[in-house]
Amino acid sequence: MPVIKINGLGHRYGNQAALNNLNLIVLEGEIFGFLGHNGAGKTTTINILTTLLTQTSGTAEVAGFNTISQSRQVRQNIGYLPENVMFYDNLTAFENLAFFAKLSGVTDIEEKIFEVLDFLDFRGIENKKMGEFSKGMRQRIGIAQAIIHKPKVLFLDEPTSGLDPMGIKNLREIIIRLNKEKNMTIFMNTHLLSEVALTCTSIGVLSRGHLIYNDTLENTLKKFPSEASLEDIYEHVEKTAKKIK
Amino acid sequence: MAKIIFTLAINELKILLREKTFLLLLAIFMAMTFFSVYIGWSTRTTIFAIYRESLSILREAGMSKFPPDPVLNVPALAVFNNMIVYIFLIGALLAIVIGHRSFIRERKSGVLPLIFSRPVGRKEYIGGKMAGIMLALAFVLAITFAVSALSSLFIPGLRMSFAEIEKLFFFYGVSFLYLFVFSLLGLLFSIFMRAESMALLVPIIIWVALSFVLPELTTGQNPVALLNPVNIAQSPQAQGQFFVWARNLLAPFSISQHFTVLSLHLLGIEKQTEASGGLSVLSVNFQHLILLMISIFIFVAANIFALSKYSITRDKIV
Amino acid sequence: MRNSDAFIVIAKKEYADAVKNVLFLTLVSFLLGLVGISLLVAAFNFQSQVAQYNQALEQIKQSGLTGAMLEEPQYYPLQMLRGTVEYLEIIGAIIGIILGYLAIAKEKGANTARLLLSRPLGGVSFVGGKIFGNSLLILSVLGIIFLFIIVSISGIGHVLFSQLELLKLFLAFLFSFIYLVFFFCFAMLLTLFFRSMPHALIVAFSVWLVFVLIIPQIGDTMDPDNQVPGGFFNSMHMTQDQQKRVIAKFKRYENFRNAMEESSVEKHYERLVFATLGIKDMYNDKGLSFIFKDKWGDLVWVIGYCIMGAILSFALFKNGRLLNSP
Repeated sequence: MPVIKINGLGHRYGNQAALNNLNLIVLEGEIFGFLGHNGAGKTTTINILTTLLTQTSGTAEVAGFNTISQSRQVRQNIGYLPENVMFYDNLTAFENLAFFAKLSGVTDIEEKIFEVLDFLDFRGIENKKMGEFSKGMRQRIGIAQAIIHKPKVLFLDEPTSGLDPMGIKNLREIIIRLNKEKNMTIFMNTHLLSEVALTCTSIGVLSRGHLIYNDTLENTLKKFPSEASLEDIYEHVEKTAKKIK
Repeated sequence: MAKIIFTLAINELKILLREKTFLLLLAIFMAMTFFSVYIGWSTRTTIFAIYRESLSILREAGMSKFPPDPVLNVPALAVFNNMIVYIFLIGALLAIVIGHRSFIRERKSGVLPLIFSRPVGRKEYIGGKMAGIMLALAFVLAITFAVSALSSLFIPGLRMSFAEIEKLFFFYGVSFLYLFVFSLLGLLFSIFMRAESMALLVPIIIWVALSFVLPELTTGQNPVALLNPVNIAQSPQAQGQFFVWARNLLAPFSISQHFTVLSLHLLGIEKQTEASGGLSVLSVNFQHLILLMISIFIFVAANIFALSKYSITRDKIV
Repeated sequence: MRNSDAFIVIAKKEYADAVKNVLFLTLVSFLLGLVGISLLVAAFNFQSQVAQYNQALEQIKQSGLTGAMLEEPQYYPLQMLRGTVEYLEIIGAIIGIILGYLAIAKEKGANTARLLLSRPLGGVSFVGGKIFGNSLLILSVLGIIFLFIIVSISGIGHVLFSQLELLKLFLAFLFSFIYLVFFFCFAMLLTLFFRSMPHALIVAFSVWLVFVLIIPQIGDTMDPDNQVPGGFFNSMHMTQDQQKRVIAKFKRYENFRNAMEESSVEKHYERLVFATLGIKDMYNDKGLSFIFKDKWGDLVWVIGYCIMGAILSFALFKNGRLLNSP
């Protein structure tokens, strides 16, 4: 069953097209890796899907709701971790989580916060001020705020950016567990190809606002010779795209 | 909706109370409140002593008829007259900073995508922000009211009647409206100005224009002269054609004058024989109250409009 | 690069940066507008005084009396500048604060501080260059304002200034310059001192409020003579001598009031300029030696504040505060 349906989606900043006629379907239970260079239009897509930005053409549905006409319902069903997530530095981790949980309509705040922190194996930091947190710790609280209200779809924008190798490994495990144990569909922007191969179930490649490749990871690996890496695939579709143009 | 506004408002107050800048300004404001009562009392007692001293010197010189004691008919509440000026000055700066920080903080900390990817509407959000600002101002003024009421207990000879306490309370109520206008101004510019320093400075410039330039044009008084409550109450208004014309045109916009006129009457520095209680003073001067309210409504609408046009994904603060 | 060359490079850049800065240009235009308004208000005030005088004179003549008992309003062009000086006190100080804030904030904010400090650059070149460049800027701003004053007053009053009046105007210009440079140095040292730059700006505005507007106001409201319209002692019909005798008995109160006023750089500047321009009646039409015999103390205070601000800025720079970024 499709959880994200994108139809002819486009966005322009003035005269500059950031996204062009994007058509895409993400099925329930998938971990979808959205690949592309910087400026390819990945963040614009996430901004539209999370209702932070209104597209200039086309439609998008998330969890069965239209992102423009039913934006509130969309937001009730999603969680979002922006790139370089930030919080109120003067408040503790607990206070930050409580604030965002309340805005999502969560009622049993304390119970939910500890449940999420347990899931992330991150108990004991809740009374520390966010200003004292490292980048990796912030990222965990970032995930906690994104899942505290048990969303159907989780959007992650470059979640591994700025993390050390250990942090990346931990995050990868968390993403897979969220998908398996909490049945969340995950839409992840990244430019790290190795990440996609290790966590995602299907991929899409975006280049200068155009979707140039979209298939399951399994099929992708079947289509290309076994010795080919994902990097080769990426290079191949980029070249093909240039030829078509 | 109400729940979300409440959550946002409480969060606003909580964060504000942990910000050093706000606490510093609050401390200055509190110190000035305490100080103003002390100055009011010390001036009053000294003037009375000077009057008695003058009488004895004049008697020595053989005079027998004297003018009455200048502080004899001054009401008890007049010891708070400096508060008008401190609310007018520090209060307004504090209010601008509260409004300014309220949204600049969100822009700088990058939490807006986290908030607006939740089921929070823009009107709810700005409603929450404004409610938070109102809470903060109410908090500040409640402490100030308590400090002034308590410090008056230590002033010998100053017994405030219930009606006077009521008037003092209304004075802080009017101050709340006045300060809210400036917080809304600070909030408005923090939404649509790109540069943080400009967003703080432009409301301060507008404040200077409203507080000094408009009264100068409508009364013909020099700008700083209007800082002395005695001057404001007793100076005659300039009579030339230009000033009459300027008064007719500009007086409704002179927010600081609405505040000053209401305050002077409530604290009894400007006397009105027909009005004794706080409510009757307000009703006699209701046009100033209404004009203050109208400016609040205009700024509330401007803030709602500014936020509806604000782009969360393209904001780069400098 | 020689120290003096670096000094000039920095000073030139300060000047060039500011004349492109919207914030600075907005403030300068605002101040110019205020000066215009205050001159206009002063002119209309004088006009209505004259009209009232003529009206009163007419009434008296009609009732068969002579007008000798009425005092004819005298036109002193420099006395028209009261509002202007007050705006220089308020907005001029803000311009100084903004320039001082920008001088340091732009280096800290864009992290060009590290690039600058990796050059062979001493405190004299850096802080000195900043002060020198901005002083020239302040001089230009005040130059424009005073030129505007001269042109508009000669235009309004159709009276040319005497040499003494022009000299007095020039001195007022010079004192305003020192006053503004003090606020520049003050904001610069706060921005060097505080880690958070907005914090520095808010503290600077608070100090501005307290010393420019509040303390002088306290001194004013505490003045016994200000308690009654027209003056307390006047209402008691007391002679100067009797007044002095009474005040002598309240030395402590007067000392406290005076100490409050002494602490404010603005009050010294105001006393100095009001005396120079004759805005305070007792100095009106008096020679410079008479004025400075009384006011040299205020001049020393204003210069002292300014030098103190500059020295502290040097000290903070030497202390490595430029790298004190958020």
